[in-house]
Amino acid sequence: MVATILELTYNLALLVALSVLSGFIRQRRSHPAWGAILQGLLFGGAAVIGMMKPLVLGPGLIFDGRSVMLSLCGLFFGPVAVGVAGVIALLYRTLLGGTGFHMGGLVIASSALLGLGFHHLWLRRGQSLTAGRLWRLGLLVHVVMILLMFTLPAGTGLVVIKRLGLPILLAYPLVTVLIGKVLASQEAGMRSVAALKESEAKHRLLIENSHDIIYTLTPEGVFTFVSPAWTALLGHPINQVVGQPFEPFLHRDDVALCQAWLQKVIETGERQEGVEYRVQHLDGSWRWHTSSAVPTRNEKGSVTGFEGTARDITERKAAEEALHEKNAELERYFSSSLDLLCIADAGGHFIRLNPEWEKALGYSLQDLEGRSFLELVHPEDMEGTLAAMSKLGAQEQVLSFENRYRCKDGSYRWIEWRSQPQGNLVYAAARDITERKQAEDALRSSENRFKTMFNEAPLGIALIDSCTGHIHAVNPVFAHIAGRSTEEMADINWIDITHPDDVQEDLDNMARMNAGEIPGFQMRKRYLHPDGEAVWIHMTIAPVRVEAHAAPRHLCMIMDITERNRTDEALRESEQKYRALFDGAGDAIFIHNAERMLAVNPLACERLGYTQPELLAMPPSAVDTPEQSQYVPERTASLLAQGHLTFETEHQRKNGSRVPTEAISRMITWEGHPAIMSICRDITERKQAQDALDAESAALTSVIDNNPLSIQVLDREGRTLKTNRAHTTLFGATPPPDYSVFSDPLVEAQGLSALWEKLRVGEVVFFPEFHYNAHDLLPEFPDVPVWVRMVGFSILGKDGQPERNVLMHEDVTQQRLAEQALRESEAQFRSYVDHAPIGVFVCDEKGRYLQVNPAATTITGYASEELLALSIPDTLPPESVAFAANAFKDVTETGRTSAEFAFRRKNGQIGMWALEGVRLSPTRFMGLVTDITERKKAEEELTHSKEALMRQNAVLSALLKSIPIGVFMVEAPSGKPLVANEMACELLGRGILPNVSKENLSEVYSSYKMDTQDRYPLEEMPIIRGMNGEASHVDDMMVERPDGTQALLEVFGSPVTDDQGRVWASVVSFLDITERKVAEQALGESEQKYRTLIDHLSAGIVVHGPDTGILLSNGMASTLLGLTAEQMQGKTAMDPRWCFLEEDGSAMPLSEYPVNRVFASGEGFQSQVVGIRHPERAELTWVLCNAYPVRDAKGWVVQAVITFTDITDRRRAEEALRLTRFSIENASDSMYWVTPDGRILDVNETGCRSLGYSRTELLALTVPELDVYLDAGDWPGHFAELRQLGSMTFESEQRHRDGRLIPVEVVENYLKFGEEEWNCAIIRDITDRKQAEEALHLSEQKFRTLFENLTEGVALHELVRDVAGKILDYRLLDVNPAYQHHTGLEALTAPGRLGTEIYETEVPPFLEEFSQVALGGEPYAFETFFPPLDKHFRISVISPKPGQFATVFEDITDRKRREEELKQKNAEMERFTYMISHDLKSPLVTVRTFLGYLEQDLEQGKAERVVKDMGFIRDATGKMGRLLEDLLEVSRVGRVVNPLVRVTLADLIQEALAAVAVAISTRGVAIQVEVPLVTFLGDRPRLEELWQNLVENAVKYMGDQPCPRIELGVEGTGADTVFFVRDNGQGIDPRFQDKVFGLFEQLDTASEGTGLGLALVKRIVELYEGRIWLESEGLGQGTCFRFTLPLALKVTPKNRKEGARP
Amino acid sequence: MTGEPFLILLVEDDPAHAEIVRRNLEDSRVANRLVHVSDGQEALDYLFHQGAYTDSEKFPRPGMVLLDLRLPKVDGLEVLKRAKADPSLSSIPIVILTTSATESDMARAYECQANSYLVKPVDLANFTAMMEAFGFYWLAWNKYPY
Repeated sequence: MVATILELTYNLALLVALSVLSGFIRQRRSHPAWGAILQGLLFGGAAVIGMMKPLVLGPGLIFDGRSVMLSLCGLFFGPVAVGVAGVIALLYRTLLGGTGFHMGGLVIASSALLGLGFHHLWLRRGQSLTAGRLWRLGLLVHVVMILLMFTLPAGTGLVVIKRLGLPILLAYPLVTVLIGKVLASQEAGMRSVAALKESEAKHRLLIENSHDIIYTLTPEGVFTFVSPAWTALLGHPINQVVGQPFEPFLHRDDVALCQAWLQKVIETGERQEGVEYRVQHLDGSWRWHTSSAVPTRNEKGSVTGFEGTARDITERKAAEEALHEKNAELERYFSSSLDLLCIADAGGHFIRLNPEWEKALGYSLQDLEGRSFLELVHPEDMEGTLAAMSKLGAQEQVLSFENRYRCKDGSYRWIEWRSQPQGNLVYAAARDITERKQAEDALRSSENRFKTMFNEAPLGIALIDSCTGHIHAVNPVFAHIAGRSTEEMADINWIDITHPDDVQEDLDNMARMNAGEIPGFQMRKRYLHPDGEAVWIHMTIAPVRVEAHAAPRHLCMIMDITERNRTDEALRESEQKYRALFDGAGDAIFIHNAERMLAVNPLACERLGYTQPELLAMPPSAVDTPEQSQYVPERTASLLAQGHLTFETEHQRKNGSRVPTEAISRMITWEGHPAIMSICRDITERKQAQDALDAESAALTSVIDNNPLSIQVLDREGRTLKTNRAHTTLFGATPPPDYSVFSDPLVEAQGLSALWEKLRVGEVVFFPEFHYNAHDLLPEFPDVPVWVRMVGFSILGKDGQPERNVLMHEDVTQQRLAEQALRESEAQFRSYVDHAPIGVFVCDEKGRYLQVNPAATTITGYASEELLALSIPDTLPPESVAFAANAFKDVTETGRTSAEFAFRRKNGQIGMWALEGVRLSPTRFMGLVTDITERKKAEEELTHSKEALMRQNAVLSALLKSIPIGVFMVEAPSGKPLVANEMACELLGRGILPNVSKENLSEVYSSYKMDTQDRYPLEEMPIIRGMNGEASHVDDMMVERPDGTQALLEVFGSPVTDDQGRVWASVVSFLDITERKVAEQALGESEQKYRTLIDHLSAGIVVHGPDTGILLSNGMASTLLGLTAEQMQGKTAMDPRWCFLEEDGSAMPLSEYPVNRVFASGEGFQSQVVGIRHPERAELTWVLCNAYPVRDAKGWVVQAVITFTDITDRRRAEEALRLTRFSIENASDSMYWVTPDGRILDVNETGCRSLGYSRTELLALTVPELDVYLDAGDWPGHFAELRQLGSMTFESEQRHRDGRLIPVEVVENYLKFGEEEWNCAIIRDITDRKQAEEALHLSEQKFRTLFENLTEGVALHELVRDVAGKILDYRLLDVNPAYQHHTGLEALTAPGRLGTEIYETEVPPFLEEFSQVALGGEPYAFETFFPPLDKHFRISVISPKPGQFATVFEDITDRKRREEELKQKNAEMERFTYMISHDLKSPLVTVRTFLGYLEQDLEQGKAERVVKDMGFIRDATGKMGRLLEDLLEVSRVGRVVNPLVRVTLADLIQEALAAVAVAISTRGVAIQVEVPLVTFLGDRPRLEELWQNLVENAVKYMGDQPCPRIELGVEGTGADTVFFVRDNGQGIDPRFQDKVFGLFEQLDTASEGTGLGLALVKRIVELYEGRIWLESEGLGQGTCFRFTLPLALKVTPKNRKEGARP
Repeated sequence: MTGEPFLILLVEDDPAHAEIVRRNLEDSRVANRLVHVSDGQEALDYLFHQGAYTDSEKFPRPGMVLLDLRLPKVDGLEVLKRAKADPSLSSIPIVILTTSATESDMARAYECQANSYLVKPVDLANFTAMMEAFGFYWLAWNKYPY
């Protein structure tokens, strides 16, 4: 039996192994049909192999696993496979033959058919292959097989059934299940792979339908593939793109960029992103794209091309542009807002301010911007401001903060702030609330004032309840008067402190007041102090209503009048005393009112001679004399006004005599009525004295007034009391009474204030002369400056102190002016001397230099200081000293001298100077020296040559005879002729005649003045002048010869001197110039005329001689050519840089110079433009050059005349004009010159071109005809508006010649030249701009739509920084609707929130990665798990602008989950194959090998080893059995699902314990169960298994624990409930704790398990979405398994419907 | 060879297989000594002189390790890796003796520098032939650096 089972097992194990191969085939199958055939071949082969190693019961009677193989083949792989397998098996079985042949064939057929039948029954209907079903199949197949055994020959059948029936029925269904499960599991695995493949395919489809273009390029940049998105985005059909290089599609400017970018891709070998470029759409428009690419490589690693994606970012670009404009708009708002707006940085500097700040603070914006605003904050507000700033730094708003800023004028303004931090910047709107603040301050101080008044008032004030009489509030004075402290006064009743006698009156008054009869009242009453003393008070009561509904109250104000009452008493007493005084006073006293006397004292009666009754009966005015009484009303009025009056009057006695009286009147109260008290004193004597004084004073005044000196009388304080006429004349006005000379700033400015002090103490003070203009001090004075000399003295009063100060002024203005004129003249003179070219010095009588001028130092070579240390002899050589002494003597005596003598320069050279000496004073001399060294040298040379001439005298006299000039010499001074040569005789017609003297020379030789009949005047005759030592020359002497002929002579006369220089003779030489003179005269007149003309010509003229030397040139030529006359004549060198230029500006070759041209060609030329470059002139001079030759009689060119006309200005203007015209014609804008009536006067080429007209056509039109929006009727108004504004800019449309409308921008400028007005309009075609705007608008809409409809989530963020600029967070700016779909977060409320806020994290997710991109890093994409949302995302990050980034993302959680599941499945699969190859094969090895040993044992008779070896075999087969069972169990979990039932934890544990009861009791384990009522909904057998396995495990690994114990329990509630199974067994080494849940993991080789128990537990826990973990301190420390089962506890509809399968 | 018995460390969790190996080695008459440990951890303990095997005289360095792959506690591959990573042990030839003929197992073993890979034959005759060949090759012919 055992052997049979072993054989069968072996057979079947082989089949199991083969079935693995089947899985391999299924994975590799290329076509389903081929797969089926291959499977058929495999299974057929397996059946054959099985038959090769069968269980042979007898000849031809073999049993094997073919039934299993064929049935499963049919079940899993369908008809084709099973057909193939069946045929193979049948063939082989037929080949084997034997008794079982029939049965074998039938078994093959039945197994195949049954498998196929169930294939249709289960698999075709999609039902899962549970172990139960497989077992049923196995059982059925083998029952049929057993039944078929009856077909065996009789006898054999029964034997076989007996022998094999049971093993077959036991083992074969089991094997069917095992292999079936392996195959089913492979099937399931493959289905996942297929799902994944499908997902990949879908993904690929998505990529192909992506909006992004996907392309591949050859390394040369030729497209090899582009995705359909190209056509969608750019319009080109794909076949027009593929095979083309990319460059032609790109914008010319971007090609280089893209090439460089591709180069970079190759160089780095990595993905490069973010290149942006323009691509042309099929319709010609340009689109912005961004692209990323990676290089593709072949196996050798060389680049075979690129793969890339491109995205249309045209909208983004446009959006950026739009954003830019938005910013500009904001900018405009910023600068025009009336609030104070500002942007500041975190460091406290103003960055931007709007112009309102200038108004508010008075600084210019330039002053403020960049400045730290803390500098301006009021020191008291500094702390608060810093606090607000740190708040802003923490990115909090500050909404109403107030502080003070210093204005430019130093005052402070209150500013209220609303500040919003935005990253590193603070945006603030502020408002000047200074006025509000001031109002608040005023209110506060007013309140304070009232409080102070209440508390500090000298009155006692109390607030009293009018009904109850309780005192509510009192001030300290009130309490003081009441004799109590303020606290004691609280809530006291006024009645309690009032004297009982006064209470009733008070109450009566109160009643009247409360009844409204009186508004309030006053009364005198007494308060009682606590000590019983009564105080008199004066009380004022006024009602108050604090609030409308409150109880009536009244204000009680009291004054302590006890003292006053006491004073009254005292007064009364003293009245008596005063009355006595009144009566006995030394002055007359009248008390009266306007009408009558009220009282008089006895002295009054006595003085006036009346009795008292008489006086009292008189009207008060009656006591005055009639003259005085007229003043009474006036006096009364001023008395009433002032309260008192002192005046002088005259009283009349009863007897008529008069009494001069001084009266002091005063207003008094007399018996309760106002009255006047006049105290009158007899001043008769004083009056007399004063009269005398007045007379004296008048005399004095007259003296002062008529004094020619200005006199000013001052009081002690320097105020002017009096001035005289002279003073007024001097200063122009009288000083005002409040002006004090002591504080006169003008005098003070002259440093004279100390002198006032002297004057004040009584000294006589002489002031120095000073300059004074009273107008500077007081505008009422005329503006006349005066020079004043002043004397001041004091008049002493009785106390010996100065009482009056008198100032006397002398006007010295004229004197000073004269001096000043002199000084100015002196200064001028000095200036002349300083700059004179003559050396000037002043010396003293010893010859020492006292003053020298600069020229003197130049001549002597000494510096001025050096010269001043020397005397004249020091600067002379020894030989000159005598000369100098002579000259000095001369000047001392005569006052003047002139001399020439040698002097020595500082450098030792000897020079000559000419000296003019002048005596300034006996000890001062002035010398004027001229350096004549050069002249002297020349003179000396001349002298030398004269001597030489003398020596040649003899030679000369010989010559004399023969020369053709008349020479005539007379003796001086007689005039006697000495010599006359031949020619002289001939010319004169006479020789030397006797008796000729100098008186008759003219007569004798018949000399006449030319053209007259007069004798030639003797004194003018050269011969006479020669006798006087004078050389002369005349050419107008006519001589009449004795023969009557006449000759005109030119005569040269000169004296002849001897060695001493005395003239001893005079000689004349003469020649006949009669003919020449006649010609000359004619020529001279003409020449003069032309010279004048030429010199004043505006053209330059130069006449060249044949050698090209200049014969003549005029001033203008010199000016134009920039050459001096000397330079032109070649006398002075010219700068070599000077040259002529051709018209085009190039240098003119010398041969082309006008003069050379004329001489070379012999021809003149006209109007050649020539430039002159002059080295000293900045600009070129341009001249128009004419040249002509002058020929002599023979036709030779002897002169060249060149004229130059200055055309520089003209040329410059021409150039400017040409340039302007060029730029206008070629301007890109049209330009029109329009007249006020709208006609087009001129238009440029662009204007004609843009409207399609010729210029002529356009000039015939008017502006309204061209401008669509401008009617002819509106034109005058339009022009008037332009005239007023000067310039206007607007948009309009122009009509093209072909009728098209062209949008234009017009800038009109009003111009006025003289009387003419123009509208110069510049018109720009803005079609492109308009189109661009339109496109932008459309694009923006498109972009928005795209953004809104994008299936990927898009979120735009900006970075948020702290004050220090550190990036803290980011803020969402915008999200699209898909955002909500992918994140599950509300899309509407997301914008504006911070990353930390929205994702509820400490640190914003991916801050570092995002900020890198936002700060200009490469955009990149990544996939990640995002814990805050518990989702997987694929995120692309890009930065649309610095500081911002956008994320484009997609929730890929589902995909990730599927991938994860697949990974787990694969891992499980791998473990499974591992197990098959090891654990399942291992017992086979054991069994087979020990079977071999058994054979040996039997052969060798080693009986003792037989038992041992069989034991090995038994253990191996046992282990294999357990393995198969556990495998079955594991595969059942999650696949075999029992109906869901409710079960309590207690029941489960009970059953688990029951199942393990034997082991528990064997080991003697104490079980402790403490569980609450927990109800599960789940697969009951699985849950039981869970606890059973854990308890079993605990028992199994109890180790050698003497008191084994197991605890089962529960912790927590609800879905978080944790169950535990704890033991105190051997524990688990921490190193292997993570292995215990692994499939087939077994830590203890000695134990019986298969290593599947805990794996099973884990699977069950995971089925219920739970978690299991273990806690063990280590070996010997016991173990605690804890786990959760959320799904089993969650009794939800979902659970109920779908069961425990997740 | 120093003349001392050549020590083989057999790491095998299955006592039956250990017995087969032991018998074969005994029969092949090649002078040797066999020490048998039954899990990966024990093998490591022996090789690194730790745990129960600290006494290095009593448990001398093996001249060769016969290692099964599938082992409790510490996997055979792990033992192989650790032994080969240790400079003092890396020169010891480690021969894998396992039931698995899976390609991936073989590949991994060789990746971890296994010196040889033997698959346990499924019948005695082959097992004996293999162990004989193994004995001759490794124990008679092969030369060792120690």
